[in-house]
Amino acid sequence: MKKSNSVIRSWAVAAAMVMVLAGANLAGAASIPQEVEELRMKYERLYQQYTQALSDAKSSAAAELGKEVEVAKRRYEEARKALTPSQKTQEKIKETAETVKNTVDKLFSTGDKNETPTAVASKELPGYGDLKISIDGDNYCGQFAMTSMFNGMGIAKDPQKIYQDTNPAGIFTGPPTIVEYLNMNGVDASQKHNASLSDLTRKIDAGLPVIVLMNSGGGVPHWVNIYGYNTDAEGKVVSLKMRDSYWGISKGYEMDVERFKTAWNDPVGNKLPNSLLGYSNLMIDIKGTREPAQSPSALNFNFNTAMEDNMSSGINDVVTGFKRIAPMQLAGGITKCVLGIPGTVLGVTAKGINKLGDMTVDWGKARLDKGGFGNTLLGGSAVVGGSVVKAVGYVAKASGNLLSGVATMAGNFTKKLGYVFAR
Amino acid sequence: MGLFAGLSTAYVMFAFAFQAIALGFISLDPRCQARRVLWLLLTLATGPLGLLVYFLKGRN
Repeated sequence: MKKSNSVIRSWAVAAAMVMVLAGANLAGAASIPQEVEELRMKYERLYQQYTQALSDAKSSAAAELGKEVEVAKRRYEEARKALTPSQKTQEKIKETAETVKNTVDKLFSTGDKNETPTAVASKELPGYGDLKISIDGDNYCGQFAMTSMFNGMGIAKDPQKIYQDTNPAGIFTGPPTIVEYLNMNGVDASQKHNASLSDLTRKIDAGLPVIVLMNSGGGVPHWVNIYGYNTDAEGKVVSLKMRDSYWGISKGYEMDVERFKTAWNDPVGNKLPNSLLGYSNLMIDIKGTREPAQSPSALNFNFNTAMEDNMSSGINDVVTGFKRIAPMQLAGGITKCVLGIPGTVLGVTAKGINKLGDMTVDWGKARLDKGGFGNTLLGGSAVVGGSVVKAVGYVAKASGNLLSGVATMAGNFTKKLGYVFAR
Repeated sequence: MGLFAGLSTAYVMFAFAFQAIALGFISLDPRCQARRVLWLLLTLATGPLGLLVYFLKGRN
């Protein structure tokens, strides 16, 4: 990190110097008056006539012209000298360049002091960092992460095949779709909601990679395969090593742990309507290899995010089933989407109620902090009322998840029938 | 997951619109035989299934 900063700093200083000098040159070039150019041409013309006269042995003309050449040459040189930067100007340019250099130095030295503590230990699973993955399509972060994970675990998989199987229309890949594909291709996987950093490191310590859902910026959720981490002298995680289709597309990428935690905690952003979706610290928990499942599991969802899982897998199944001409997958997707309507309405409403409860409690706490009888009474009532609203929201969310879970099971069972009939 | 937010938002809007129309229809339907509140609750909890059952069993 320090080495790369030093290289960047050198380049920045050099670039700044070049820019200052080029600026000075450009300024000089732009200010050459027409007069100087004319004087130069006059001097050259007279000098030619003078040499011609000498060769023609016209001594009187040559003597006359000689004087004119002298005058023209003097005027031209005087004019040119006036345009050459004075000593003072040259010193000023040098001073400016020095200031720029110092500013750049200061900027980069500040960066060095504030950067993540230097990693002293590193844990990395082999076979991930340099893997070459190429996919032709759109929104294939899930397929990229799966390919990285499959190949890293020693299961040879063609990324384009994974893409065709799970996201042929290039829309997105929901968490249940990833879990289902992994289980049906020899990897024992499940969803873990609200996972912690130590959950990740424990997996890597056990020799297993994980896939996580992060915010790649602007509330766009993005799948990433984590295969290693760095720690400082105290054993604290300072950065994570990942392969993904955004940061680590050609080789492993190391992300600062604080940046990672922020992006992992809130993969869909905190603005409406995305904030109504409840994915947070989502990890695809890999438990090792297994015998490939013969058909999708009907229970492939997480109760805490059943509404989101039903929605994402329903849309995935409808689009993939239609694109791949898989009638039972299409029917399963339609079942999820149709039966999932009441659960979605209830779940989203519950999230809204929860937010309202949070706001009421916050307002009440602010009132309480102000003190006084009126504020205490109002604030206390608001805190109690907000807490009751939040409780109602939690119950409604659980009910929504229950309804969505039933819809997911019905849809998955329909899809499962397709595999049973196919045998 | 580029289109996830957009498609899920569209689905949520569709779900709300469907429930609003279904519940509005049942609450105003002059051919409702009886127990309108129960039909409303059933449709609220089961969505299109409840509406289907209402069409088959709940109307004159």
